Amino acid sequence: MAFYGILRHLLISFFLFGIFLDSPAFLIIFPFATFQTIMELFNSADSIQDKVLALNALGNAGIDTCVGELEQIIKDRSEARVVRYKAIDALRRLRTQMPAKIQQILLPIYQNTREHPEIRAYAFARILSTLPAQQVIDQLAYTIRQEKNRQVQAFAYRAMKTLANSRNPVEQQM
Amino acid sequence: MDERALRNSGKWQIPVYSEQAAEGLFINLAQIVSAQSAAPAFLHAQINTFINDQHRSSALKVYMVQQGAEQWYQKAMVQLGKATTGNSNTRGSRSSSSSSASPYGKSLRNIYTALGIKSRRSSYASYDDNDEQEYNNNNNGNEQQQQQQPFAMLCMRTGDVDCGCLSISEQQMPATISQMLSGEQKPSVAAFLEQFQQQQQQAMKFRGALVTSIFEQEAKIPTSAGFPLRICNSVPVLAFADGQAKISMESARLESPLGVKAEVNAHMMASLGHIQKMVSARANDGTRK
Repeated sequence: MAFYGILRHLLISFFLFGIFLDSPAFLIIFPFATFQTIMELFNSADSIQDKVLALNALGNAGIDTCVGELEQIIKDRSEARVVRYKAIDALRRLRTQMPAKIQQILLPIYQNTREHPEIRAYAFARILSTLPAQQVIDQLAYTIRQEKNRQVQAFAYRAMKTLANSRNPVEQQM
Repeated sequence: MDERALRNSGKWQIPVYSEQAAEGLFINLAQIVSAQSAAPAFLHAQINTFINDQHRSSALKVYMVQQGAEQWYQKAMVQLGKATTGNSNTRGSRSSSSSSASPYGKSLRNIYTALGIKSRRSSYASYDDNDEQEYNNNNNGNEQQQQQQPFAMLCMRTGDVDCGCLSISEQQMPATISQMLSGEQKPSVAAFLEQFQQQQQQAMKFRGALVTSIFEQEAKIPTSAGFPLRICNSVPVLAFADGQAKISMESARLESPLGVKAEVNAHMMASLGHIQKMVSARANDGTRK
């Protein structure tokens, strides 16, 4: 219970300082301290639930300094599938700040046919959410054509088709 | 591509959008189906909005992710079969139990493990209880246990921020259900009612936090210098509640016609501030009042 108390306190504190103190120093130092604490909690967690909760907190915070650590978790095949999925999901709030970095991390995951199919499919969805450039879309389309796994192929094809037919003005810009 | 040959995984969008007003919302549905489980590994329903020329992703999202949850389903079916027929051995379970119990079956499994041969069905093969221990001994036990450990999570997200998660794992599962799945206790309604009564006598702890900003207003005023002056006004509010609640039912209670008594002990904190900023296009720091 102390674990959850600390995480909730960190989340509240992060938002509190972000609102009341928009000095650049606080916005840089305090989130970094918060990220280090959350990563310590993640590394010391011994159950999937604790790890997922820590990654939830990281995802909500959207701190750009945590991208390196999240990349290690995503590429660590010894981690549980749900933990790796939550690590990919934790990049969601950075999709507008560093789309190229997210594509750089997730594109090899998606194109690796030896990777778990569900992880690959979700990496594909996260890449699409960054509104990638034409070159990245061409790589994705080429991989769909060569795809051997039917589930990944189905998800990727339908996601691309939905995006192509979308009436959302933001998605139509792609 | 022939869509009839595609599997069930996919992503779909239902637009509720007006081209004339350029406003609307988009309902996105997605699922990723796993080859090792009947239930989807990932399922989500999401609403994106496009209002006032502003796109808001995940205005509301409900999603589910699970791994190995079919183990609970299999255990529940086995226990249910035992409760109804008294014999849970189907043909499949009889053959697997006989092969793993016999010395030849064990030798064969040891050969497979030593050579690193895995089932063609998936690279994350499922093992029965007899083999799981051997597989963990041959590999890093903790990592393999986490990969095969059943886990499910249901989450709700608003404004791209997770605001509620309900996780189901064997550690957090109620004792009654855990005992029923392992066969220590027969499934019965009486057991559930007894546990409900026990929980009713205990106080439920709750903790919640709210961070919001009210009275957000922004005005742009043209100036004679040619640069617009932006005035921002907001009132951020932080509220936190921590406490416990206890609900007891007393049929003989005369004060309450329903026979229900609720006791709530809560500790609440709230703080708010008032921020006013004047920012011009030239001076980024602006003037704070």
